[in-house]
Amino acid sequence: MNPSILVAMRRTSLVVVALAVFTAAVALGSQGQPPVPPPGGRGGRGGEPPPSTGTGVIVGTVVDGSSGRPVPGAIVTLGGRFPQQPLPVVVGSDGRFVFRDLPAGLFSLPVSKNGYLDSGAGRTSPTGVTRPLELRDGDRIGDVVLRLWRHAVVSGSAADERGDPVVSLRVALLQRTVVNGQWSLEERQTTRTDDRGWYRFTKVAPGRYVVAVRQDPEGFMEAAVMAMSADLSAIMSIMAPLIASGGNQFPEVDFRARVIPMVFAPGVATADEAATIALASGDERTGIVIRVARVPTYRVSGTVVGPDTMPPNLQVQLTTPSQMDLPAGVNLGEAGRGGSGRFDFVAVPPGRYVLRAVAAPRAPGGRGGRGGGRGGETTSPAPSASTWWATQQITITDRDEVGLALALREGVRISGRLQFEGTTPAPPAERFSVMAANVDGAAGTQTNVPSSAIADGSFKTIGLPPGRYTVSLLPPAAPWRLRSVRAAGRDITDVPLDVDADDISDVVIALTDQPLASLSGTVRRLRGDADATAVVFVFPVDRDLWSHVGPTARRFRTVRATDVGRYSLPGLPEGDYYIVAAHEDRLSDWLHPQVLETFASTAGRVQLRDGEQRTLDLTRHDR
Amino acid sequence: MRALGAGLVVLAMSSQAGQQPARDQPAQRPGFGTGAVAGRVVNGETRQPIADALVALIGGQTTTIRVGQTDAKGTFILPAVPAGKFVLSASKAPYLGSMYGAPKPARPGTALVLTEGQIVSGLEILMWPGAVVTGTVTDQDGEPVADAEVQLQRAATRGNQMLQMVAALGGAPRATTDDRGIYRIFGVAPGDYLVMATVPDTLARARRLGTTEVADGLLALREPPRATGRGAAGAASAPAPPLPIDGVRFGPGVPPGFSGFSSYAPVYFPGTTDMSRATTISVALGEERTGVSLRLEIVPLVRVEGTVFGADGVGAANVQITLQRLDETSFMAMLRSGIRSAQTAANGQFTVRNVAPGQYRVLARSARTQQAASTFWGSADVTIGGQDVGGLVLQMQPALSITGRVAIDDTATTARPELTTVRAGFVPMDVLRDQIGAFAGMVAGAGGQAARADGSFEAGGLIPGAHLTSAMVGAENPLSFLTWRVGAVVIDGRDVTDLPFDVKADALPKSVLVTLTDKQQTLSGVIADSSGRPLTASTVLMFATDRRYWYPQSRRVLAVRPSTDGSYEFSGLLGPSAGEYFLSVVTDLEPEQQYDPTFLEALAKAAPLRILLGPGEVKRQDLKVR
Repeated sequence: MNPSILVAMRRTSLVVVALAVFTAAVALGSQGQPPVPPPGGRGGRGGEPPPSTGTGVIVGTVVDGSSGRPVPGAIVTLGGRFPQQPLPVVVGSDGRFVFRDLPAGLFSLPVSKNGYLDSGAGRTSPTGVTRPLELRDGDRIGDVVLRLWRHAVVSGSAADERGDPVVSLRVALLQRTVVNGQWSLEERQTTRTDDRGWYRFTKVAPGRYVVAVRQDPEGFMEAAVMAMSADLSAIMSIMAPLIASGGNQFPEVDFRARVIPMVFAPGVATADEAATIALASGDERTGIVIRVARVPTYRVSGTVVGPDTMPPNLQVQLTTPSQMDLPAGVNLGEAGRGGSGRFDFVAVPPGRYVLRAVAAPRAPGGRGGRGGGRGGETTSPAPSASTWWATQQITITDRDEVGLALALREGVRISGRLQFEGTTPAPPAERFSVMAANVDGAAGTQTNVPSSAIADGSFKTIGLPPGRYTVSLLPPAAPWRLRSVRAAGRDITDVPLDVDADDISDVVIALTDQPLASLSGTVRRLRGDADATAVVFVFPVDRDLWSHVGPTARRFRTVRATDVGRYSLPGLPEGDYYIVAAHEDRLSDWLHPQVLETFASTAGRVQLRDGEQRTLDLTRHDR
Repeated sequence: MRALGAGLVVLAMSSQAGQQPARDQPAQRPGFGTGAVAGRVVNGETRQPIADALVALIGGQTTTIRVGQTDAKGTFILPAVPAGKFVLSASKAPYLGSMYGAPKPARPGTALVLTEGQIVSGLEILMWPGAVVTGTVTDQDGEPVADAEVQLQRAATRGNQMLQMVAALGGAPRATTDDRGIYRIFGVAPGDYLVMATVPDTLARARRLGTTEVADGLLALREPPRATGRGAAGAASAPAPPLPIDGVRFGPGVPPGFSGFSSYAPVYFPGTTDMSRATTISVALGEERTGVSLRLEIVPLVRVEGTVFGADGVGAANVQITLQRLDETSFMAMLRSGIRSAQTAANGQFTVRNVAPGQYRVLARSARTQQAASTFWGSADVTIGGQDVGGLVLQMQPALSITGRVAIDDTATTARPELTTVRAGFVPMDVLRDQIGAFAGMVAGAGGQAARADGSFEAGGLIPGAHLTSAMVGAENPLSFLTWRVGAVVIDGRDVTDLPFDVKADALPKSVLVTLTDKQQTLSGVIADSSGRPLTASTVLMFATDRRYWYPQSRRVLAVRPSTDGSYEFSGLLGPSAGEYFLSVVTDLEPEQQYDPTFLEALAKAAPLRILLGPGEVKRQDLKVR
């Protein structure tokens, strides 16, 4: 289902939505029964604020992280798993908050205040990690300090080729990050311009950003439909055949309007040329102007051809091959439905695109999260199921591309076996799963594919579209852990495997019961005192391993120093490493080879063997 | 709501099945014809062309959508248009969206009726500039409040829950304040508005710490606190500041000695939580209205205590207590603030905490069982100010029960549903909040009781008062309302279809028959002037001769504008109920004006045409206006 029509239907069906809400309300009211609160009566407004389930007390102060002064009006919430959730509190002019009668447990303390970034217990820098507070039975903690840092603000305007303000334009704030060893952009916020063409991003964390206009054909469609809202009954009568047909009809859409394509401030087509905005806490950057121009749009349509029976979950995407991997146009086709294999993108601006069809043997939407992608799917598809894929480069200049035929090919499987190398009795192989993560470029989809069932220590993945993959094993089962992954004799534990046209067999995943190495020590500043704000970064000396740091990288590690400057890094595979202590603001982009190179210039070097427990004190050289 | 939304998605998603991939030859593609529609989009005030406006044509037998755009001269052309009836719209922010034929801002337009191959040119769509309403939202100290939602409600909808809800869900102009507390709502149609600001959820849920509470907390630490040095990273910071207990304060308006908490409530311009004291702003066409600033109000949250006595005079345990606001006129505000609730203890006592000031009905119902909604009930109305309320007494009395029967229209042509899939019941009007319009009747069935195989049902737990009779096929199939709806309600021989009836302990109805029908009534025709030309600049009104049906959103008060060929039609899902109607023609209709009884009375006096529409009847009535 193409989203624009959904939007259109949703909007035109306000009546229907209203009906539904009313149904819920009526159902609630006519039964005379309020929603049953969860056990213990989670507050809302009906709950008793101080739960009488303990004697613990937390008293603390909300302060500005820079000035140390109290922040009146901050809202502190007590988060944690306990029966009765107290209401959040608004602190007074002394910044002080109190939570009483608490049971033992772990409590997070999210805190927010207009003009500041959201924060929480344990945060020592604007984007640093938060740590929950542990309360033992009857503990009274009186010295909690919650620190808030001023947010940064980015504002500006958008103007078209005539210099007129562009109204209701979708503008995005993108942060420069690193994915798979390459520069990438992650969308942090989007907003729309007002009637003057102005936009404003607030609550921006320190970092390096780019402002961009997002292509928004659906917004156009929505506007068109909303223009008719003065006559809901007319819309209802016009749409009635569609609704009453019970799904046998579908709108026939033809879109012939110019749209504003993706543009980066100040008005360039690629992120490389875009102006980078470096922001620190409290910065306000105004007047970031984006120049846009409307371009004609075209249609990209055709049919996916493939196996006799078209996979029902076939998805066709048209994306920009940029760092953003953004979808283009609006797909009116429904490739997987009814076996038609049809795709039909309208509102596609000129440009280079990748047309991609994938039918993975599981629920669609199996695309892992960007930048990290840890976790992934847990449900295993049937091992026999096939993955079908097709991809084609498309360049749109000044005409429609219709009648395209996209031929599906079957995905490639990786198979092999597990090998236990040790003296401890081996656990059943079935408790592991093999993960193949795509690490193609910054825009690469990180499709985390859990293995098929592992029987007799041998495994076979589902079919994979071509690309570069890292292969690893989940989860660890102490004392057993991954030692190495080899394909055709080549060590691919920490480098990607090229998956092309042929199945790959004979992949040996070796596990060992030998303990890993560990590193620990104290971080000091140049003047010799312990540094509680540092982050310790560890990465391999071998530069060949820097280019594709995938989601399962084991040799790239970070840890925060404790209050007294101690750090501890267990679980390192043997090898030659750089180690360096630096500011935590490097956490967002340190995996880029350029940053690693900078680190390497001041880093210490350490060679670790399996089972080794090394102590190494560090001195911080930056800032 | 989720279920319905999902239903629509499913409907739409399954829709492409079975279509042949022949769409790359336009001539063969369904919904693509050889006609064309062309014209200009101009500013309705200045008649200047509007460039880059989006023009959309929707309609046709297979639901066709054509989207085009105006050039620098404001002209547009939409090719490949098939035959059928279409609406034509233009949009370009910050202009108000408009439709072809709309004579004024925010008025319905005129539908186009096209034959195959017809080329229509010279159409002019008028657009009007939207107004801007802007200002700030501040808290009681004058500090800007971020993320507050500011919404314009049409003053005409004051007191009309359904309109407010529809507005709140999608249509109402709204904006969110930025970090400076500034909001800016643009694209506002001219009219009278109430301005409402809602604080962000965290702030709305947060309570302000009381002086005594902080002091008590500090006293609890008087024994040396366990220095943690963990979590808070306290060790790395300067020593914690001293612990003064003064300097913690309430906002203004909170009574001294008040023991509870206080919080924010939604406010209306210029700064009142009471809608009846809100100031209406008049927004002129295209104006920029600045300085519409709101100041949030802190309200105390109090405690309501009382005792529930059973019919035997003994405190009743496990009774469900709910507090429903009586003076809260915004449906969404009511939903947001939630329904406060508690249960009575073994001795019948209850406490509801954190209640904001207002007028409430305290309702007690004995616990719901599989068999009955409730068997006993009690209620008390209470006005809550800034002080705790104690000593409420609620006396339980037996709830009422009504038996009835649902039936399927004998002449239905659709596959008949099993009667056991029908839910029927009586919905109290205070829950419907005085809504007895088309929507309420259609959906109220969801809360009803399942009928037995013979169609009989028993609705228990009823409390005296006005109720709407409702029935619905299979709540598990939310789209069934597209097919089956209440065709007739007969109580003790009286036809009360589309009307509420009173549940009284001493006069319970002996027979209730609810008939579900798949029939829809249609009235259509052509309206022409004395020389036979289509009279497009008009509105046809169809309203019940019986004045009891003259209420907002009534299924028996309908208005429609004729198409370009002068044809008009009342039909479909929101079409008329069977009954007797007046038929009138007016030149212009203000939004919602058709529900104004004075207006209808004036029309009725002018001896309009009378039309009798039987169940399932499709009637044609041409109109000639001299």
